[in-house]
Parts: sequence; structure tokens; C-alpha cells
Amino acid sequence: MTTDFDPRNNRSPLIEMKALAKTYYTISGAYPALKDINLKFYRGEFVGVIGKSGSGKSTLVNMITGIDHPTAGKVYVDGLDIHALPESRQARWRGKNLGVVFQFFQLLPMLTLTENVLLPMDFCNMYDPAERPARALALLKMVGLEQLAHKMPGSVSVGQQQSAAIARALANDPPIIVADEPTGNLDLKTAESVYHHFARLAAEGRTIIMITHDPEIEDRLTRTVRLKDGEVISPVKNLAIAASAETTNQPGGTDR
Amino acid sequence: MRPRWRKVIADWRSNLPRFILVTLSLMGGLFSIGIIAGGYITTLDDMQGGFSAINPSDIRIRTENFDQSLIDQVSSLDGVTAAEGEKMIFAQLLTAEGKWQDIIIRVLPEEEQQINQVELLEGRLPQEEEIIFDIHRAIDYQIGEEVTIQTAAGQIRKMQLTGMVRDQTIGTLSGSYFIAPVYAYVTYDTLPWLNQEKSYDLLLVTVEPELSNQEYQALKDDLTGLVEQSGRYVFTITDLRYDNHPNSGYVSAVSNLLALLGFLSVFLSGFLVYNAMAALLAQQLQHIGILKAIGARQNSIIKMYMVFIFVFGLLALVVAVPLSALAANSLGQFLGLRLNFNAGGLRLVPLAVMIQTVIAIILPQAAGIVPILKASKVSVQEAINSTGIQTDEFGKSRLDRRLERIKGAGRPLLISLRNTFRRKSRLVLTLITLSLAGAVFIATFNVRASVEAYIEKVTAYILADVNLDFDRNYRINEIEAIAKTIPEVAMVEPRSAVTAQLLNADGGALETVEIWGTPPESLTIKPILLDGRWLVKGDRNAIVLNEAFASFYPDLKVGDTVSFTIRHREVDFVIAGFFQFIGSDFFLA
Repeated sequence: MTTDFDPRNNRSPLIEMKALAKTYYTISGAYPALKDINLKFYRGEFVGVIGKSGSGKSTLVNMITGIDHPTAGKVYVDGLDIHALPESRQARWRGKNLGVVFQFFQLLPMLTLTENVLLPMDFCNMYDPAERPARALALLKMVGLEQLAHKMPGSVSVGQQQSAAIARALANDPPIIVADEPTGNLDLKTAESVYHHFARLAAEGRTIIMITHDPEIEDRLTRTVRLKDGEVISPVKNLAIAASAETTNQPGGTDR
Repeated sequence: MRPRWRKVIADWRSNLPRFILVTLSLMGGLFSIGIIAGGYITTLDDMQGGFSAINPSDIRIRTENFDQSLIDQVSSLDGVTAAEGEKMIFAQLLTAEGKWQDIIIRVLPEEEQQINQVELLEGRLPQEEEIIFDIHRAIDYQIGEEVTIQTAAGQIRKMQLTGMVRDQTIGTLSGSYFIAPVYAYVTYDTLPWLNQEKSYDLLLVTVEPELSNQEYQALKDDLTGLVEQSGRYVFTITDLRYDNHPNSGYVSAVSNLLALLGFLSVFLSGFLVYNAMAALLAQQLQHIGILKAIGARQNSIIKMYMVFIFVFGLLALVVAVPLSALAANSLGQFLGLRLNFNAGGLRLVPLAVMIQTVIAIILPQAAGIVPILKASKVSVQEAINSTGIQTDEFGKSRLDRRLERIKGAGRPLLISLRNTFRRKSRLVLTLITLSLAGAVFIATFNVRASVEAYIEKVTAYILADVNLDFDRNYRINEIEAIAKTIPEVAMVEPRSAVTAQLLNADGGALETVEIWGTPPESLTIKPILLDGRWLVKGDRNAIVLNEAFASFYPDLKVGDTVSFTIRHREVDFVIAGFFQFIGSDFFLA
């Protein structure tokens, strides 16, 4: 099944999945997690990936981040076939072009929030080393954590940890943010704050792809991609938000 | 500091007890290597340096009494750098407990001592009727006190002790340093007072170091000829040209053994590093996944953990190098006193430091690289979902399936068994570590057993409870009768010893050999035979030779005839057998 939504029709997609399939081979046999997926994601979109457990949501997102490899098909990000990159180049590419937000935040517990935010800049050698701390602080301030910048993750609330994880995802100013159930462990108020951050980022021109179970969020999404048994069953459009995305300034292109 | 290094430091801190143990273990290994290599090198250097400094004799000729005129003639030979006379007197020293103790008195030459110099450590050199002692055996006298000596003829002489010296030549000839008696030194002019003729009976010669072997042999022949032309008989001529300090062999033997133990302990440290890293990386798999997800490449991760390991090695090295140098110095001082050499001061031995550095850098990295590579290759997805426990390993091998089929065992026992075999590489490593540790333990006991076996070998040829040495030959019956007047004496057996010279086919001197004469039915010898047989009643001119003959002259066989000069006479013996003595190059027959 193919879904193709282009808010500006003549604009080229930032992410494009072509005939993507993934099959896991286990002791009990072959398990197709994704079947013939053809999707396009554009700049400024805030896309929700929805589906039941085992529907292939995480596998789909992992194909974009390069964390998992397709059995068939291609994933192009800004025209680059990311699965054709060698492992090391892929890691560097991911660090510069993708911000990943995990369900369990995955902050390094032995580093302060600032140091966690500094890590992607360090590994990808982005920005002048002297500028990095100021940038990390600015990002933490953006998510409301400037007072807690020097705290360890274990000494702040889970919501604050997820906010710090969002700040870390933004460290290298990536055009794409991929989030795997980022509010799955958060209370409603904190989840609302996370959605707010993502909506703002999308409004700034970043592409946000988020796995979620939360039906309340759909109003804030540009569109949703619903998955069932590894197939896209109904692309849903939210034209009002898509229209606002059209008028937003676009961030820079992706780094190959 | 970059956050990745903050993480490395934090990892160190959070696993401090484990890593302190690993560092201490590495430190122990490096320390052992440092003390062994450093101690070995400094000890041998000090031994060789000190021994060369005393100008040791290259050739030692035992002959009949001679005086300065023969020395002057020898000195004038081409190739001879120095010649000197020496005499050794056997006497007894009265101890504080009122007992008589054997001593050897070396007579210092009239002129300033040039060869086999003794080093004055305390007090002053003796004048006429005065005496000095070597420090290697404890004596009951202080400098300034009067020492009571009994000569071989039975005269009692009281002599003032004026000083203490170190004589590094003790044990040069028969490796007998540890059983050597007290050595004392008097002047040439003191000889008549000790009822001795003013003469020498040992000619010590040093030769030019540039002499080729042929020139050296020719010089030896010239020397023998010169002594014989003077009307004196050459009893023995001993070649000491390339001899090291007489006790250097002990240092080499012990160092080789210790080096083995040191390397084993280093290997054990390596296994500990491997285990520590494997455990740490199992815990940190999620962190590795996160790092990769935010842009860390495999190389960056490998570098982080390699630096992490490098810190172990560096810390261990920084502590082990000075500590091992200090310990090697203490060991040198300790050995100097016991092995009769002058230990130098504290110093770093570049080779030892280099070995330690190479081991400190390479060993932990080599031990840690396997788990690091394995962990760094893990995919982000696998790493992030990891719990630190590998679940997919057990159940694949035949052994696992057999363990699964065990019936009748309780569940806790089955869990224990399966856990043991769950990670087989770790099991193998643990077994190797335990085996190595066991090997070190057993090796230590083996060394002790070897020493005991060595002592047993020596004592197998001296089984008497009491040995009495006489300064001249006595009739056996006479001594036996006197000895048996003591009720506790169960058995008396005579033995004589003579120094002989092994001859080659042309009658040229080869080796100096000690020949023991013993009854064939001896009860004080239990020989360890390597070939042939021991002496039997009725043997005439039969001889058994020790392993030194077999190793230096492999063509010699049972039934061959060998020739010796013994007290001016050439005597032929038929080889009855070969026996094992103490495995040295000391020729005994």
C-alpha cells in the first residue's frame, strides 16, 4: 500500500521509503514486520505513526534512523540511500541529521544533563568546542531545564529527563526528529509539554516522526500513518496543520 | 573536558573496587617483572662489575713452593698482564663458645695485591702477626680483638683482628661458596710465625684480553713449561679466563624461575582485565547503543574503552616502576651480602622499565580488545534493548541439550549447571585463570621439591653422620681403631680425595678433576647411575665418572680408558660407569 501526501505538491520529499520490507527470521519461522511500504515525509511535517503493538511502528522508525536494516526496498533521506552507507558513516550521518528520542529517554546516568546534550556535538564534531556548552545550555533553556543543567538525570523527574532527551536530540540542529513513544512513560501534563516542544519544532521547519498511542495528539499532527500487520492502512491528513507547515521557514538540507 | 572522557572517568568511579583490584593485579604483575628484570640486571651488572674490578686471575697454577723470582719470570712473558703468588693455609679458629672452627688463611702478596684483590670494608689491612677476615661468614670477634688460631701443626697463635674485607673469589674453583669456611688473610711476613715456609704454592696470572684462543693456549703451555723448567711440578692448571662471578649462576637460575612466575602473574592480570572489561561492557551495552544512536562511530567507542583500559596500565606502571626499582635495590643489597658481591645503589634499569612499559601498554589492551570489539559491533537496536544478559547463547550445543535432558535433579541445581555452561568462553577463561593460578602454586612447591631433590642428590654421596677431614694421610686401621673407641660410633669408612688432571691423547692437560677414593662396598654412597655400573670388589684401576664428563666429552663410553696425572704420575683408568652428581660442570670421579 502506498501513501503519498505532499502539502505543496511540487515539493520533493525529505524522507522517502520505496517498496520497503522487513522480515525477521526466528526459530518459529519468518515474521514479516513491514510489507511493501511506500511513504514520503516532507519538511515541517509532524507525523504520528500509530498502530497496535507488533504492527511494525518501531521497525518503520528504525528504518529511518538506520538502526535496523530493510530486507528489501530503500530509504532515501534527502536523496541519500542511508542503508547503503557503511556503519561508521551511517552513525556520523545519524548524529548530524537525526535527533532520536527514546521512550525511556536513554540519558547516560553518569553525565549531567548538560554533558548529555554535549555528547552528540562531541561525537559528530559539530560547532566549535568553546561554543558547545553555551549551545547545550540554550537548548536546555528552550525545554525549561536551565536551572537543572548540572543535575544528574537520576535527580530530576522523568518528564524533565524526557525534555533533556529532546534537547539532546536537537544538539546538532538536525532537520529530522524521530521519537519512539516519547510520552509512553509520562503523565498527561508532562506529555503535553513534550507535544508542545515537538509542535514548535515542526513549526520551525523540522520533520518530526513520532510513534504514539495517544489518540488525543492527532489534532496536533500534520498527519498520521496507521500501521496494521506491517502495512500502512490509512494515511490521515490534517490539512489545517499541513497548511501552516507550508508557510514555515525551512531548516537547512541534510548532510550526506 | 570532552563529555566522552567524563563518561570514561565516571565509569571508572562507578566500578572503583573492581578496577582497583584489576589495577592492583596488573601492578603486581608489573612489579614482579620489574623486580625480576631490574634485580637480575643490576645484580649481574654489580656482580660482573665488582668481579672485574678485583682483577680476577685468568689462569691458576698449583705447583710446588716458589718465591718472587718465578713470579718475575712469569710476569715477563708476552701476553701476561700480571702475575702473583698466593698460598692458602688450613687452620682452625676458636669461637666464642670455645669450639674450633675451620678457616682458610689466604696469604696476601708482599707487594700490593694486583690479582684477586680483596676489598677492605672496615678497619685496616693487617701487618705482621695480624689478621683480617672476610665478611661472608659471621665470626665472634670485633675489630681490635685478639683472635685465637690453631695451625695444622697444633700451635696456638693469638693475632689481632684489624679489619674486615670482601673476597669475591671465594667459591671460584668448585662452586663451594655456600659451604666454604671462614676466610682470613695474613701478610707474607706472618708465614714463619704460623710455622709456614715463606713461599707461595699458587701462581695467579692475568692475560691480555685481546689474546685469541690459540694464543691463550700457547701462553698456558709456556707458563706450564716455565714452571716445570724451574724444577717444580705443576699439580693443576685451572683456566678461569671467561669465568664470571662465582655466584652468578645462582642469580641466573633463581631469576629464570622467578621470571616464569612473574610472567604467569602478568598473564593472570591479563585474564582479570578481560573479565573486568567483559563484565563492564555487558553492563554498558545500552550506553554503547545510545552513543551510537547519537552519532558515535564504532572507532570512537573502541577508542573510549581502550583509553579506559590504558588508564589501568598507566596507573599500574606509574606505581610499579619506582616500587620495583626500590625492591630490586633492596633485593640487590640482600643478595650482595649473601652472594658475596658489592651491590650498587638505587637505579632505574632502562630495559626493565621498557619491558614493564611494553607489558603495561600491550597486555591490558590485548586482554580487553576482544570484549571491546564484540561490544562495539553490537547494533544500536540490540544494544538499546539489551538487559546485559545474553539469552540466546544457551541451548545450541550438544552439551546444552544434554544438560537440558538431565532428570531427577532439583531446579536450583539445574539452574546452577546451566548458568555454568551458559557462556562457554567465559567458562573456558575462568578455567584457564584457575589453572594458571594453580600452576603458579604448584610451581612454587615444585621448586621446593627440586631443591630438596638436589640436596638429596648431593647427600647421596656423603651419607655419613660425621665427616672428619685430615691435613695429611693416615693409616685407615689406625683412624678406625681410634674412632671405634667412641661407643656411639657405629661404622667408620675411609675416603680420600685427590686433585688430578684429565689428559688428552697427546698427554695435554684438559680438566681439573677431583677423584675420591672409596671402598667399593661403601655404605656412605648411594650412587645414582646413568650408565654402566658402580665400583665392585676386585676392580683394579676402574673409575666411575660424573655427568660432567658425559656432557663435556660425549664420546667417552663405558669400557674406555682415561688418563690422569695424579701427584706427578700418569695413571690410566677404565671407565666402569657414569653417575649423576649435582648436574654441574664440576668434574668428579
